[in-house]
Amino acid sequence: MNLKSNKLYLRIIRYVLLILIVISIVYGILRGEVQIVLRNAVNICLDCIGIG
Amino acid sequence: MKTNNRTGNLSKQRKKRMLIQAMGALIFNGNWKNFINGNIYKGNLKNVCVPVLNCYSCPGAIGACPIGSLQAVNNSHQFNFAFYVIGLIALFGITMGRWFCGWLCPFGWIQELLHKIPLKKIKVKPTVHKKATRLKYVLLILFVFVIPFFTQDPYGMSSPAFCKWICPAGTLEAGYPLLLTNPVLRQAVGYIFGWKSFLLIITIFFSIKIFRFFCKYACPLGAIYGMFNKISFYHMECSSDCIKCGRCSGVCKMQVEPYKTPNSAECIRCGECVEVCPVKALKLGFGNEKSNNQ
Repeated sequence: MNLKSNKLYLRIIRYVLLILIVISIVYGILRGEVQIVLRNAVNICLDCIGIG
Repeated sequence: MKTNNRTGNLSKQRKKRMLIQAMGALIFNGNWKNFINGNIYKGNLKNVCVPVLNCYSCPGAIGACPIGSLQAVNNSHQFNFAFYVIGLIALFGITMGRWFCGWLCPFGWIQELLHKIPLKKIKVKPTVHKKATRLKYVLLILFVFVIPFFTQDPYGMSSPAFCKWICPAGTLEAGYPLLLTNPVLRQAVGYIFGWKSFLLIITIFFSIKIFRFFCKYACPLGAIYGMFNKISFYHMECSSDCIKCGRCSGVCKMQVEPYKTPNSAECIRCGECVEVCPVKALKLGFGNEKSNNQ
């Protein structure tokens, strides 16, 4: 495969991945993962500081 | 004259990056008053993960740590896969790769400051270095995914193993500031805190001796971003003008050979190699198309 088609291939991979990533984020938000992130982040994580 | 210009550019680049790193550390930990009252920020910004390893229990932290959040969602009783957090980490990775490590990560910046301490440095042999860089992938798989998965209780919940047993950023940014200002937490200190303090001391010692010791060999977020370096929109290219003088490899503190592997998983995109290149063959950006290597 020549350099030009390699670059085209890479560009396609980037955009396909970007679309999958956006879908993943939106799906995660819709099913309520954000609340779990917030709940953990606003309470002192005893495990993180070495007490839990 | 040209050599002087290159040295001047390199010095400017280092100062610029140091300034941006300091600003990143201050912004991601912008709730400074909490460092005095021994509490943490509880606002809505913590819905979102920051793109760097910054403990969400740090008193000043304004956002959520991506590695902590990843473990929290994966090991909650509701979900087994964190689409939102993995999506966010991947979004950061596909856009900028390890640029965040080099320019914004507060723990990376702290390690760079430690490395400025004028003590004898350790030059890790390339073969040892290459093998040791794999450790961060082992830590990522074992402590972020496997151990929490296999230690779930009957309700599907488990501890964030990386945060609990390894993360020195959490001990430094959250553990010590909170324990110094919060007497209730001080009473609960046990052997895990002793173990984590030991790991923190090891990290500090080796960060003085080896440039970004933790980033090179142990950071799970760096491991994920590193995998994106080859395909990220922001990337490096080496054009056919390259004369293979090796100056880029000589200046690289992450032990990368930019003219051979411009998009190495170890490159933190500091840009120093670009500054020292005598023929301007290396380019960092979003869309350089005249190149030989990927």
